[in-house]
Amino acid sequence: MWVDGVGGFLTLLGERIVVGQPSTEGAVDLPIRADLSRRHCLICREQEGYVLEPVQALSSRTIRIDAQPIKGPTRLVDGNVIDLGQGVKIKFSQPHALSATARLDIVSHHKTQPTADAVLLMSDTCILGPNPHCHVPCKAWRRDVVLYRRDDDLICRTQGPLKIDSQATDGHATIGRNARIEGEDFAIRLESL
Amino acid sequence: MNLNATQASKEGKPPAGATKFTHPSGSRPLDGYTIHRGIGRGGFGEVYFGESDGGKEVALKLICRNLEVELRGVRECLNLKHPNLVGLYDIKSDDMDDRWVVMEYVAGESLETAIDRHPDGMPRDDVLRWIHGMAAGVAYLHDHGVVHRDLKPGNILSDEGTVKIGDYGLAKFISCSRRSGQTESIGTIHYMAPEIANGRYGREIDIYAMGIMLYEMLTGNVPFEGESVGEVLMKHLTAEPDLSALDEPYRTIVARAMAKDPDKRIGSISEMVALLPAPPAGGVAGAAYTPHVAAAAGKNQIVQAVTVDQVSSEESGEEPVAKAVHDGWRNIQSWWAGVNLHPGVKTLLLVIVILGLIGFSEAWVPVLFAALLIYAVYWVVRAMVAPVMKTSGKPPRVASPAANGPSQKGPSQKGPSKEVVAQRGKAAKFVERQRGKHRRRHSWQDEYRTTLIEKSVREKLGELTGSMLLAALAAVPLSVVMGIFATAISTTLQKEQAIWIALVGTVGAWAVMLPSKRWEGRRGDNGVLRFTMLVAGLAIGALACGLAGLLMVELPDSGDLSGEGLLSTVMNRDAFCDANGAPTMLAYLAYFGFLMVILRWWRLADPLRSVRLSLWSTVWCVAWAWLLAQFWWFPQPWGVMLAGVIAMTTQLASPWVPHEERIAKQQADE
Repeated sequence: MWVDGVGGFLTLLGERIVVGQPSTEGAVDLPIRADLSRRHCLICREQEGYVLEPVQALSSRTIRIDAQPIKGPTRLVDGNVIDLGQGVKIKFSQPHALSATARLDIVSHHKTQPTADAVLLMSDTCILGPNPHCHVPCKAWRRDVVLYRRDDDLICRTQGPLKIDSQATDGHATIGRNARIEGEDFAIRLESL
Repeated sequence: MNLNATQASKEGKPPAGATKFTHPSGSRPLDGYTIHRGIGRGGFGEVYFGESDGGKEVALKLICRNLEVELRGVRECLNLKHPNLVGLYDIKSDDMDDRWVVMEYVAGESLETAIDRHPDGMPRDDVLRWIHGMAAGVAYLHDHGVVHRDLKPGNILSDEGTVKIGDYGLAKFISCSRRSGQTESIGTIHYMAPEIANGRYGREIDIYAMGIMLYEMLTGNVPFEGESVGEVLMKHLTAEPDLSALDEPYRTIVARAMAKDPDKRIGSISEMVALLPAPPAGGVAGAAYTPHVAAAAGKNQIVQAVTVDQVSSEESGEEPVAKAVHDGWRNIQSWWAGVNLHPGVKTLLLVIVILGLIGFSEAWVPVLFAALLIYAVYWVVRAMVAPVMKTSGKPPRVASPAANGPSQKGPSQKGPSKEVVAQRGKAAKFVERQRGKHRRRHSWQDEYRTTLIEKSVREKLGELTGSMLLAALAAVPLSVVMGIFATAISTTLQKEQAIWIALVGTVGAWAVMLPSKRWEGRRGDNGVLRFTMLVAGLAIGALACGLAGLLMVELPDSGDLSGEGLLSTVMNRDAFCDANGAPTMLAYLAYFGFLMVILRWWRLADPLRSVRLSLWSTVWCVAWAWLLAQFWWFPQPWGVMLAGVIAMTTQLASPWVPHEERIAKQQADE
């Protein structure tokens, strides 16, 4: 998801996210260009929240959460810093209280493949807007833009005029996986990988 | 590209409307590149994040105007390579004949966002990391004949810890767009050097901007803020920045980098780097660039020399032996405090030690005196030699940093010279901090001293006459009191003796007050002051001798107070007294002469002394007088009594700034 003037966001819709080194087979949901295993760990969305599961319990691949080494599956809470080893550090946050969607920011200098400014683990909704507790804070915007899932569709909702792929609609529209969304003061484009 | 908009917008703070771009995400206006998203917009074009067909991530800057003159600047910079510069890859034209600059994509935050995150100033290590990276990049540009002209936090980025300077080579665009009335980011004028008003665009303007950014990083604010563009520009031209929030060496660097006159500014980036503390270990922002510019190197050396010289003179202010003794004493104190014993036992031990020391005083006191004597000689020699050494020591000090100067050697020499710079920076910082403290604490006193200096001769004479009269009045009761004390100890006081003490005490006080008045408010040269006091002391001695003869005063020596028993072997008492045991003229001269030399008597007459009559100062004078008598015999207790009378009379009779006035001045100062 590309947001003009704001950044690029790798948006993952799956319940189980494989974190690892980029591979040609494409089995990795969150590929990080770093010295990691192919399948380094899993981040799973469960009823109550997110759980991090190390894939291999090798001593050389110890994963730490807030500097505490973990052995098995561990619950993630807002503000946790996940240290995958080899200097890869990721901050986990759930900025919006009413949404299960989480945001991962790589705080070390590593980058995702393709390059993104942050990773969104999208649950049902994803909120972009001027407030700091939005999943994607866009201070210059006047209003929130909400993306949400209904069944297998992705729907965009906002107040004010909206253009989907240059087609004007009211503030509520189903969007395709490669849609371009334009509003009065913003432009978003989804690009499926 | 306007990186300002780039990174600011990422944090969600772009100028309104900056989120709308000409080319939508996914479009391919330029053959071979796909645009992912707009990054930001400036007065001269839009910047996009894109990817080449081969997968290379790039920043694409669309240049709205298409003048060859304007593109020339970019073309000149196209092949510059430095880790601290955003790399320029190519200039391309699209189907619409628009020009695009293809450049390195930097994902990290800008200095602007970094400053925003620390509204009260960034941590020092971060500041150093940024400024050293910036300095290396700008130094490279300057060395290649390019003046950036638009350095500002929005143009400085950080990529995986490496500082990257962007937007170079586009200065002409910026100046054009400003003239054409486009609303350029207000941020730019905050970093604009005053001489730009006269059309002067030398490398000094980059140094000015660096100074402003250093200030901004340290404090969180730019030095000149205003409601309007005109107000800020006017401040650049006329106002002096408030540097009180900065500590050294940053205060000096910012002050020198922000000099209004470009010729008085720090002359080169390398000179600025030499003044800065070394970058923190681990996170060096980029390869420090060392240009081979002889002129810059030359200036560098001078600056370094000055700093080193300041440090060395400060160091020599402390006398090594005294320091060793002081340290030793403190060690003993801390050891004693740490000994795990019952307080009662400790007290008992202390009493035993003291009694033992008194009991065996004959054994150690002469040794102590001998040591003190040797130290006194050493101290005097050192005091005389040290200033000479300081001046003669200068040339080699200048020479040594010049030889180690970082600018002259290749990158292989970087390590050690950096350390040198670091140490020097630290030392200079410390020294300056100490000085700063001192200066702050005493600023009203300093101010008062200048008023003292400015007093007219008539005023001074008037004051002096008053003080001298007062001294004569004060000396009489004091001499009686002293006499009573003396009587209690050993001798009986006769009328003539009291008169003699009062007279000599008065004259002594006058002798202190006269030169003190002469140097009032000034620091004065210690050597000259002491010499004057020596002459005064000799005069007192001669007068005291004459008066004693005139009044036919007998000054019987009470043995237990004089130094006879202690140092009879060292000093020949017989040379100082005649057959009747009365002191000779020589004894008078020696005693009073040295008494005036060893102590800083003028301090007792200083109107800014902490209290009018200090018991401690008096005791101190008396103690030294007693010590002196151990070397140059003088009948006691008369000698110490006189020292006490002179000290107290001087203090009582000299002008003194009362407490209320001090408090008022202090408050006015704050």
